[in-house]
Amino acid sequence: MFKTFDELFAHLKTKGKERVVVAGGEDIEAVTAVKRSYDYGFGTAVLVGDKSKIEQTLSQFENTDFVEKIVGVKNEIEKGTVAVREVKSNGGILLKGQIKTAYLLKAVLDKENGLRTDKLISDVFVFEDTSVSNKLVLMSDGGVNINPDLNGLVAIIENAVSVANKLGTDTPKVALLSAVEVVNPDMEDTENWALISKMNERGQIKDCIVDGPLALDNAISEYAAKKKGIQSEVAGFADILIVPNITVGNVFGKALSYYAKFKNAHIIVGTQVPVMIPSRADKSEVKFNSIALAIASKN
Amino acid sequence: MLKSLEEIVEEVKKREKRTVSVAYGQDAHTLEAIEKGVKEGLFNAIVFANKSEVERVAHANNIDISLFEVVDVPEENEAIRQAVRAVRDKRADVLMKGLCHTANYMRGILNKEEGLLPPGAILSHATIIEISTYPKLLVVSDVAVIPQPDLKMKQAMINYDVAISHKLGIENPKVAVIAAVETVNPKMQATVDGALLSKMNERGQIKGCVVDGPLALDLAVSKEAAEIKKVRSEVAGNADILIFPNIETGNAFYKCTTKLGNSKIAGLVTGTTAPAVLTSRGDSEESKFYSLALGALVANK
Repeated sequence: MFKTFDELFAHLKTKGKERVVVAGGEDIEAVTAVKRSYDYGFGTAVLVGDKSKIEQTLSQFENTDFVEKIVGVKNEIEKGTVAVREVKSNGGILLKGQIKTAYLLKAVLDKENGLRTDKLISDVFVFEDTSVSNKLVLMSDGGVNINPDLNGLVAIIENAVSVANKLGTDTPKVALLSAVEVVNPDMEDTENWALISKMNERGQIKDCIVDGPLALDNAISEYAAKKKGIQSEVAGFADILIVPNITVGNVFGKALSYYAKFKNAHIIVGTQVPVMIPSRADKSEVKFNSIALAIASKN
Repeated sequence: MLKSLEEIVEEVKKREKRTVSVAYGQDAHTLEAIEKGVKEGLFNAIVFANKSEVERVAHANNIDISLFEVVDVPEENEAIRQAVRAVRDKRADVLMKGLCHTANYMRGILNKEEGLLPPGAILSHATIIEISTYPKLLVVSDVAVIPQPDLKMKQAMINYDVAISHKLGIENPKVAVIAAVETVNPKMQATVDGALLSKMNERGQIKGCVVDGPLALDLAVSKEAAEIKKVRSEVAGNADILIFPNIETGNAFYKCTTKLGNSKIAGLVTGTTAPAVLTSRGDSEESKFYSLALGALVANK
């Protein structure tokens, strides 16, 4: 696993430039993030949107070498469908610019022309932990699946594991988070986690080591795990944190971003190529990090 | 570690002698088992029953009733009540079912004021099976009492069976939670419970043993099967305790070993403050005797 985003950037640089297709390429923040990826040496921009408005946006840059292509479309809905088509026919990753999320998602999820696969679609959040484990850590799903059932949780784990593989960890350690580390039939998540960890033991979930339920402290701190006498290959060494529902994941991600000020990124996976739907409040650095994460996660 | 029912008998002979309280013991099988146990020096006995009937049966079957105390209680439920009370009052250490109906016997045990079940405890049953095709004794639950145990009940069963295994000298018994497959499938509750119980053990919620589940029966008792199916488990192929998903499975299993195999069995009601022997009418006199020996062993400190 890369220890920092800087390590990830350095790695991507050696791989050449990837096309970043922006649905709604008029958006200055999105375009700025792609330009930065170009300057770092791993991205180029394909801007889909109102051609004259895109040119207006680009006029704010001294140099527009980072733009590989501009695709003009007539309306908001086409921004989504054309951007998706662009990714499908010419490759790249997809970044939301100036387009309503609903339009972009509709194009992405379209059964015939979208980016669906047979996998579940889920959000993977990556943060640079500079305080406990000093590495990049993944967390899912704080963005897409509201209250996943057992099968959904398994699919979320598999998606996160494939991202961790792309980030250089062959057999990531997956911690299934709850408030406690014991099985309590009154807490459904503890039961799901016990089942999932057994499924991993029995080879039903591959290429990772899963343990849960684990409280967050046990998952990330060897000291806490030892103090509580938890015997687990994962406790204290988690590469991936899986949360039981969107509320936990969302709050967790935002707490890391706002309070801890950890560098972070988030992408949607389970699609043919990674999709980035940054929140409007995301800082441009997050958008840039997310481009790097998406490129690294692309097959 | 005791590896056969006969070894249990021999072990009990070495220990301090316990007393068996027999509820309505006025049938030949019960009295013969009691006579044998007392003669061989395993335990003392008090029989609560209709004394004239006891004398008649003893005479007809050549049983020496001078070996034990007979308290004359002609009525069945009263005999049960007094037999249970003797255990409660520590005049006896093991309860034994005689000719009484199982339902009445169980009511006596379950009675809130005068019974043997502590408040909140779960009543279950353990069967100890000796079969020549397996190198050690198997403790299995529940073949007789709980029809469709839930997670909490299965947890209680494990705890009871582990306590019995400890008495058999097995320090850290291996518990297999049986299902039809070894993988987790939410459509099969047995696999779900197996996974939960195994995690509970991993987290120290179930102590004194190693639990793994779900395991199919072949994986639980056959090292070869476990190797072929590549199941990594401390328990697989070497189980000391089998927890069955429901009474039908457990009951069919033990009857399969006794009627189609050549097993010998002993059985005890578990969860009670003192061991209680509950053998079915179809069980042999031998199994009654072994159950008494097991009861005496468990009642020993």
